[in-house]
Order: sequence, then structure tokens, then C-alpha cells
Amino acid sequence: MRIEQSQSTCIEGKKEMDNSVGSSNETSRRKFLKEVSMTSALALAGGTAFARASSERQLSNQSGQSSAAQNRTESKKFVAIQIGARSFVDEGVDKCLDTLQEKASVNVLMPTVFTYGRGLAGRQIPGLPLPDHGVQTYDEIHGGSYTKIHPEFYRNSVIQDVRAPELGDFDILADVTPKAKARGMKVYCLFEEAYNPRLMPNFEKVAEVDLYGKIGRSTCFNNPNARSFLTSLVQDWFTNNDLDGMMWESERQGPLNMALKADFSSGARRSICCFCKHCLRKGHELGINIERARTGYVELDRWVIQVTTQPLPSDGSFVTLWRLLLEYPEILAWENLWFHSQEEMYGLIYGTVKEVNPRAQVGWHIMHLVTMSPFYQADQNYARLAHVSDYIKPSPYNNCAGPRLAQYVKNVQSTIFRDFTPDEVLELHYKILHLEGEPGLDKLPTAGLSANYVGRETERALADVHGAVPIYPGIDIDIPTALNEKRTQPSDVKAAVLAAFKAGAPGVVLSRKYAEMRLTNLAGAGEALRELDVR
Amino acid sequence: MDELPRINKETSRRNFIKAASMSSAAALVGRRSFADPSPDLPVTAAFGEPTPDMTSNKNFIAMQISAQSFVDEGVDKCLDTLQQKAGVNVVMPVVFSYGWELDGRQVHGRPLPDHGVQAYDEIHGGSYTKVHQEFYADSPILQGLRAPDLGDFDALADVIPKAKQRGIQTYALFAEDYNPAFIPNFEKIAEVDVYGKTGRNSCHNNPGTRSFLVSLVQDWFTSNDLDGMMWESERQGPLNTALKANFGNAPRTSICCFCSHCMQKGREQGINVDRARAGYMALDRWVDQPSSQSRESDGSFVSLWRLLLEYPEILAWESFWFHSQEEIYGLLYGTAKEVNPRARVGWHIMHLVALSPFYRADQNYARLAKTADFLKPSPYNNCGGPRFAQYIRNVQSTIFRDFSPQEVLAMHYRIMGFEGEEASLDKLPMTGLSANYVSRETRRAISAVQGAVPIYPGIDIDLPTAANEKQTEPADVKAEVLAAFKAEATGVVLSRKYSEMKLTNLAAVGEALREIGA
Repeated sequence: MRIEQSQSTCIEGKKEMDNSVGSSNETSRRKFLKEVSMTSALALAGGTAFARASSERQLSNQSGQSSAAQNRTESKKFVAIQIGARSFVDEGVDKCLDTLQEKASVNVLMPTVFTYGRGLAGRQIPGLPLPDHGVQTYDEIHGGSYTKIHPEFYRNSVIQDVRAPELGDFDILADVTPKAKARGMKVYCLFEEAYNPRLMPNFEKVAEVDLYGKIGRSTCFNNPNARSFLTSLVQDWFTNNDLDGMMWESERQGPLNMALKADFSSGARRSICCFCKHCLRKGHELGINIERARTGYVELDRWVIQVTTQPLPSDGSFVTLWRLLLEYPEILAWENLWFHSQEEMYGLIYGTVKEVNPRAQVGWHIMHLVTMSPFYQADQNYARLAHVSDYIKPSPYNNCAGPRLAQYVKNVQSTIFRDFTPDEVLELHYKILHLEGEPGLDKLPTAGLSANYVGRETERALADVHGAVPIYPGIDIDIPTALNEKRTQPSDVKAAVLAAFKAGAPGVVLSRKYAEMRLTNLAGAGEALRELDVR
Repeated sequence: MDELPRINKETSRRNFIKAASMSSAAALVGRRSFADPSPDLPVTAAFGEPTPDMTSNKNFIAMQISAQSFVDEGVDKCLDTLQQKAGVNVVMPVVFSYGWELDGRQVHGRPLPDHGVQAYDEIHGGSYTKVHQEFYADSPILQGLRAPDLGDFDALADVIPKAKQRGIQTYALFAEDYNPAFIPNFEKIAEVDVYGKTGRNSCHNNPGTRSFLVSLVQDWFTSNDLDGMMWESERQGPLNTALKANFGNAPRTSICCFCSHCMQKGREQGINVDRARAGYMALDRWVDQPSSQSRESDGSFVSLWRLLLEYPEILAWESFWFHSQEEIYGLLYGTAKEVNPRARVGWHIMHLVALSPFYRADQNYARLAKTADFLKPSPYNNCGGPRFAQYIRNVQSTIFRDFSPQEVLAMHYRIMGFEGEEASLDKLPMTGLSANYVSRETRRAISAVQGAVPIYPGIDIDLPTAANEKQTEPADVKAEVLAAFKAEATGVVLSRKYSEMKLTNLAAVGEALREIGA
């Protein structure tokens, strides 16, 4: 119900937007932000303290109707590619678009419009083999906005000038969209939560704060300034460009999973966020005992340090962890607050886009971890996410999944699953995640996971959303791994694409970025699509 | 008892209950909403200095025994047998229970042991010692409390003097095992399930329950020269119950407690009780619908974890439950100490603690030690076979449906630290668990309490199993006792009841004790 309210507000707002981008626009935006926030708060507080699970069934029907009405995918399959501005500058817009169409039948372009990270911006990561196209040297990136910034949209934002300087005046939207459209391609801008606080004046005003009071490197979902900034970006892009849609990547997880190292990074410590004043106030308003939450996380952090550095306690790791969670249910409550706040951000961006262009398609990239960690999988409820999206892109990246899953297993074995050997933890995960038949831990980094893994996640997502929105799985094409680890082959790409469509996906997103893909592998996607007769 | 002392006593008792409740509440509220896992919270200090181990240098060799055995075989003969066969120096007569586990003779259908009356009996249950009405002024439970099945035989008054003559100490043993049909007013102290149905057990937070239990303990300790007591609270909280994390085979069990007392107390502690109730209903649906779409696509573990994340109040209510149970422990501890500061008070921790990681997490020995003079974990290894197998099948049907039953067993061997227990699920009921199982739980408990209280593991002697399942042998009993002492227990409790034990098995206790010079 709240989505429909938001959309109605958006449509009314569009009239004001048409007249002027000036003060009336800002009034509308303020009104919209307020209404979206109020709606979110009502949704949280009215039905439940933490969540809105009870409203899922009701909303599901509405989403389904909305989905049908908007005819999101038309009759064509959705074949998208993520591409950084550097590729257009290096190879030329026309040549890039020609290549994408010819090699992989791409019909949706996802240009990276905002990021400070190498995952989406720039050329190949230094040290890894350069692909068989583009400029054959490594680059440095600064990051920021790869499209023009229109200051009038940022009057209420504490973050102002974020234009990336490294590509001069090249504008990834203005310089690409017309040419893409001329070829019949749609353009969905792509942006992510990858910031560089050092290069962003006032970042501390939008930043998350960790358990111990340290300013973090990402934004806080509940910080009004962070909301304002993201709203500014999206309004700017959709007002000034003829965009068909967008996709946002919020590649992070809540404090519980972070504390437990349930990820595939190899760092020794993780920041446990967010405990900023906005989150504390919101938690308090939702009835969470915030001091207990904080104390619980301090105890959890201490438990992790002990269990990873000292002999196993007599009760073992699982029992002691479960005991801690029972003692501090607020730990789960704070994790819940985190991912529901993330979902509110999805809702805010969704509503913001729809306010400018109700026909624009808005979707979310769900990070790779969703296919490896049952804990993150539990957080990310596709059925609920479908309420504030037009499509969802899970990321079952099967090639790089080899080394990533091996590292994830190593991480969680050191904390949650110390009662088990790493091999047993992997087998346990294969069972929980229904990935039976995949390689053992010794072979995993070099073998990667099979295309079945792509099919499994696609089927899971489709079952969860129950037809409310389409699922476009991400296809791993040359996502970086070490040289002695699994490397993408054309046959891998072909098999992954075939698996996605066989599982019922109406589209795919070729990932992560064109600049790191080899054309021979990209051609694997085209081969699969031809075999499926998808054009 | 004359009038004046009774009034003083009652006033004193009311003050005590009030003080104990306030003290518990203060301990909870002062530091946090639900509980305090810190092992150094001085709850014991509220009730006075810890009493010394009254067994001094002797090892504690206790026997649980029903009143029926004394009646059937004679008090003297029983005590002689226990001393001679098993070196028993502490007798634990069952003073209050309505259940077959502690009362009566052998369970019907099981082979009768090699002693006692060779016929099955019927039990009514209740108090197997005289009920002194003056102690029950505040208790809603009084009428019909005295068990009628054994006439005037008094499991305390008729046993204690003879035990003392032999140098045997007497600890009153009682259990939370009620029969509401035989207990007028039981509904006034009963728990209430998530759907509002009155349950078959008492609510820990019901003042009537607390008054009743206090009355029992005050009565027994005032009217008898008891050396100690042990209470069995053989149940677990709503989460574990909902998830069928037990070794019973009932298709459904009540999810408790959601009575007005619990809900009021929960609110006072900052728990959203409406969310807690909604969460448990959702959890119950989850358990009942293993083939639901979400569980089919996301799997059991993910969908359950998602539910727990959506309703953190589920964990909060479980925590609330076992902390309320601990408050009762504290109340009984303080009550016994008020009458006799030198009496030793301990808790039987049910067998499940050595089978289920979930129940093990609830039962924090370090915290329990704060209101106990001893703890008796129950690593019953012989019946551990069929019980563990049933537990595995139960949790596989709920939490662990992503796994086969055999895989769930292997996982539990790991989580519980049961290295060396290799029986597969199909063999487990016949093989039972090894004596290492006894030593592991003993060591774990000793490590947890860090010397604060002694650990007396329960020794499984003929706990009932089906005829085709593991049956206790003398060698098993001897190995268990040796394992317990090798793990540095300072005593054992021979369990569950003398009337179901074979003397040949009991004799193995004596053999083990002689071997170690205990």
C-alpha cells in the first residue's frame, strides 16, 4: 500500500517538475522525501516494530498488477551489460555499442554513472591481464560522477561537487544515451555505494559510525543527509537525461554478518555499523534497547576475537554463539534495523525515480554474497525487495565464486563454525544452499562453481518473487581472480547464460564491467543467445 | 506449631518472597532487560554466604529413590542395599511428583528389576511427605496435595532418622511433574500457550506458582532434618519447544508461556509482547508447513533464520523464559537457605542438555552456579542412544530439513564435541553412547562453573528403553562411574530411580568406587 501512495505522490510531483527545475522542484522533493520517510516509518511502526512481513502477501498482489501493467520487458529478452565511462573514452562510444550488439546482442546499456570503486569504473585492475580490447595499459581512477552535475539539484545536499575529473568533459549519459537509443538500445544508469571519503568534502556528514564511535567509509542509511544526497543524484540524472531505468548496487551487509566475518574478504577486522545518532534514535523509536544492542555487539566482537585467536571454549563455538544471541536478542534486532533501513533506501530511490519518470525501470543489484552466505540470503528477502523494484539482479557469479566461496568458508569456519573443519563447513553450506555436486574445498578456487549454480539462484529468486518482478541474473565474465585461480572461459559464459534462461530468467546482466571482459568470453554470451534464439 | 511462630514465619516468608522477587527483578532491570550472563553477579550474596560442601572429603554418592521402593522393600533393607551395593551416602527420596519418571515402581511394560515387588503399580502422585497446612496460607494449591497411594508413609519422616543412623544424608527430590486433573486450582498457576490455551505445567512468573513452591520447600525443611534438596525442572522454553528440539515423539507441543503474568513482566522488561506472540505464531506456522513455497525455494535454514531476524522477539521470549526459570531456582535456593543455611541446594539439569546445542545454550552452568550448591547434569549414555536418535529425527524435521537425518547426527557430533561417538543413526538406538559421553559433559560442566560448585553427573542405570534398544549392563554402569570421576566429578547421582534399577547393575557402581578407592 505504501508503494502505491508513493507512486501517486510521484506522479503529482512530475507536473511540477515539468514546469521548472528550480524552487518548486525543491519544494516537491522536500515534500516527497518527507512523505517517503513518513511512509517508511509508518510501515515500520504501524504493523510491527522491525518489519513488515505481515504485509507481504497483500503487497505481492499489488506488485504483480503493477508489473503486468508496465510491461517492463516488452517482448524482447533483457540483455544488459555494465560498462564504465573509461571504455567509451578509450574505444569510442559507437565502437563500444557496435561491439556489444554484435558480440553479445546487448539491448540494455548500464553505464556506470557514479562510483569511486574499481569494480565498476576504469580499465582492468592493475596487475591482472588486460583484455583483448581497449587501451592496453592500466589506468588510475579518481571516481565520482561520470555525468554532468547540475548544482540546482544539490542545494540541500551536504555533498556537492562529485564530478569525476579523470575523463574531462565526457558525459556517460549525455554522450552515450542518444547513440544507444539510435541503435534501439535502452539505457539504465548504474551506480553504487563505493565512496572515497578522502575525495568527498563533508563525507563525514553522511557517514556511518561504527560500534566504537569511529567514522566509517560508507554512508548511513538513516542519515537524512545521505538520503538527500542520493535523492539529488537520481533526480539530477533522470531530469536531465532520457533514461529508461537505473540499477543501484548497495554492496554491504548488516552488523551481525559483518561481526561474524560472513563475507569473502580476507581482512582481519570489519567495522560493525551503524551506531550513529540517527540509527540510535530510530532504533529507540522502534522500541529497541539501544544500549543493549551496543553492549551485545561489543560482546559479540569480543566473542569473535576470542574464538578466532584462542582455543575453542568447552561449549564449542555454536553453543556459545547461540547463547550470546539468546542473551542479546537486540543483536538480531539491530541487524534487522540495518537491512530494513537499506530497504527504505531502495524505496526512497524507487520513489524518487518514479516521481521524475513513472515509466523508468528501477532495479537492484544484489551482491554476490547472497548466493554463498545463508545469513545474507536470509537478510535479502527478494519477495519484500520486489515491492520497491521493477526488476532484481541477483549475482550468481560462478567463476569467481570458486575462490570467493573458499574464502567465505574460511572466514565463517573461523567464527560461527569452529566446531567443524573447513571441508565440513563447505559441505554444510552446499546442503543449506542446495548446491550439491559442486567441488570440494581443495579444488574450489581453481574449478569455480558450475552453471547449475546460476540456474539454482535464478530459480530461487523467481520462486521468491512469485512473478511480481522479473529476475535478471548477473553473468560472471572475467570478474577478477588470481592467476592461479579459476579464469572465465567462453564455454563458462555460454553455459551460465543458458542456465539462466533455462531456469526461467527473462534476461541477464553481463557483469561486472566491459573493460575487464575478454571479447572471446563476451562472444560466449552471444553464442548462447543465438542458440536460444534471443535477439 | 503454635500460633505466634506461625504468624512470624508467614510474615517472614512473605517478606522473603517479596525480597527475592525484588532482588531478581533488580538484577534483571538494573543491568539489562533480560539477563546477566556475567558469572560474577553476586546473586548468591543476596542469600548469604555459600555453604560448605557438607560431604567434606567424601565423594558424593547419591541415589534417587521413590517412596514406593521404601514401602515395598522396607526402609532399612533399601538403605542397606544402597550402602552395600553402591556405597550410597546420600539418599534422595522423591517427595513430590506426579510422574512415572521418579514415582512408583517400574514403568509398565518394561521388565521388572531383580528386587522389590514383582508387579506393576498405579500411581496417583503428589506429596509423599506430610503436608503441614500452615505453610500453604498463600498458596492456591493445597487440597489433595498429599499422595494417597502409600497411605501414611512419609518419604522424609520415615526415612531420615534411619538414614542418619547409617551416616547417610537425605536430600529431598522433587520435580515439576504435575497432573492438573488431581490438583484443584491448578489453572490458577498454569502456564498459557501462544494461542491462549491453559497448559499442563506451572508458569514461572505466576505468583501463585512461586508461593506454592515456596510453601513446599518451607514445609519440608522446617518439618524435617533435611541435609539438602534437588529440584528437577524438566522443560524448556518456547523456541526450543516450537522447533521440536527434544527427544519426545509428540506431533505437537505447547508453546508457552503467554499468560498475563509473563506478558506483563515482558512488557516491563521492554519486550514487545505482541510481536513476540506474532513471532511464535509465525514460527509455529513455519514448523507446520515444511512444504511452503518459501521453505521450498530458500531452504529450511535460510527461511528459519529470516524468521528469527524478522522477529528478534522470538529469541527475547526464549531468553525471558529461561531467565524466569532461573529466578525460580533463586527463589527455591533462598527459601531453603532461610530455613536452614547449611542445607545444600542443587539442580538436576535434564538429559537434553547433553543432546541439544539449543538447550545447552539456554542452560548456562556458570550462571546457574550462582544459586546452587551443586549441579547434576544428566549425561545418560545408555538411553542416550534412542533418545539422541529421536532428537535428531525431530530437529531434522524442522531446523535441519536441508540435511538428511544422518547428516544432522554427524553435525551434532561435531557441535556437541562428541568425537569418538561413531554410531550411525540406525545403530545408535541399539549401541547407546559411550562412557566418554559422561566424562565430556562432566568436564564441560566443571569447566563452566570454574570451581564455584561441585558437579555430580547423573549415572544412567536402567533408564527405560524399548526392548530392542540399548539396555544397561553392569559394564556400562562401571564405565560411567569411572568416567565421571576420571573427569574430576566429586560425586555422582544414581538415576533415575532405584525401583527401575537391576541390582546387578547397581553393584557395578560399588565395583567402580572400590576400584578408584572412593
